[in-house]
Amino acid sequence: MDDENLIRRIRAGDADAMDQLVQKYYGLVYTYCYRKVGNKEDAQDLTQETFLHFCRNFDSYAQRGKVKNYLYTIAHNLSVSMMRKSMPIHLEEWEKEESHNDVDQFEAADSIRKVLSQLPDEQKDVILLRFYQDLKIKDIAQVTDSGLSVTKYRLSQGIKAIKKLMRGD
Amino acid sequence: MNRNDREIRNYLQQDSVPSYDLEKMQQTVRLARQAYCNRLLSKRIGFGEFIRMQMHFIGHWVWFTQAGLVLGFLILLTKYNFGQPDLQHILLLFSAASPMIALVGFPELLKSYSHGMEEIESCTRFSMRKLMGARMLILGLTDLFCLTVILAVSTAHSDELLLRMILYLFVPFNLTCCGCLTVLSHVKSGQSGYYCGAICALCIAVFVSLSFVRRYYEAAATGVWMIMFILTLVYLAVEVVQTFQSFNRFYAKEEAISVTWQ
Repeated sequence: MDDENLIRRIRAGDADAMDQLVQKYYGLVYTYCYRKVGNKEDAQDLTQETFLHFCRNFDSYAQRGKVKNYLYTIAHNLSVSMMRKSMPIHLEEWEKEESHNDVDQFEAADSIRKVLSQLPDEQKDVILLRFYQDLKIKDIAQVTDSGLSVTKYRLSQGIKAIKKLMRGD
Repeated sequence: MNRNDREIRNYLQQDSVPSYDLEKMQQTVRLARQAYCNRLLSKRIGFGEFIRMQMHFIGHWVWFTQAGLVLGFLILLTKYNFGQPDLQHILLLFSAASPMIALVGFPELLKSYSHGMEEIESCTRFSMRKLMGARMLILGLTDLFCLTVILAVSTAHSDELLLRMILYLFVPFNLTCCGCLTVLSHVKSGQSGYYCGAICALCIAVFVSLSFVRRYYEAAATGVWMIMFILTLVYLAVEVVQTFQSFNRFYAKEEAISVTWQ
């Protein structure tokens, strides 16, 4: 079922449609949250908080863009405030996750995380949304609440930095 | 995405994300549903929407009776050709009958008490004070509209001055409202409706009998009417505020009692 239809049903008070929407986007939002916070538990909590925020404030949702982008925006804002409160991200926690089966893969993942952790937060956000979540630049600008040209600039700077780090400079 | 971007993406994709716990996802679905349903319960509504909602709860008979009264007045005025002295007397009878417009609304204002619903209404979503305030506003504005229509048509069809017609129509009306609101702010029971009906009947009887005494409706008496109008208007304003506040006091007391009982 398309998003427009789902949103129409939710507006009409259909709680089943809300269930479907959460199930549809849970994976995507979780992936984004994981990239942002770096560990599974916090990512799951952040994902849950994102959907709860969406449900509680559903009336203020104007449906100007895609639902997915709106959820990313909530997740982005919540992660920013979460990081501001405390929550430093520890690389050791990343290492504990069970996603990497062999040593080569673990090393590659480790180096990617180190590369990303060296980027300024704004550039890292743009890189995550562009290369992991496949968002268009205008959607990234919307999620991060910044201008199109600023987003383009951050993306190019991020790409430059990653390439530089990839080369090991 | 160009080749350069694809290269970076492939590089970054080497870092995979661990799969989420299904249980956590189901918990999120459950909590989201709960939050969504709670939102429906605690949804805030605007003043306009609240008034519209309350208008639906006012019985249709109120609108029909008031429309009938106004139409009756208008037909009587426009259909029949009264001579000037008769017309003046008809207008004075209209003035005496104006408390009927108020009387139509009061049973609606008192229905919580006459139907024994005040206990339920006081613990529902909207406070009793808000509900009564909304009802008073809707019925008050409707009465005002009816009186304005009668006033406009009366002054258009007679030589009577607008100011004097305002006084003749509003003084009996204000007096009735003052009496009924005084009852309402002090007696909150099923009997209130009867007291209001009695006050209204008394006002009508007094003003109908006054309408036969010409000297009370001559230019020389305008000053007295004016004083009565101002006095009733001030008293009415005070009584509206007091009645409105009395709902808060009454239910604050009820709430205190229920807390002790628990």
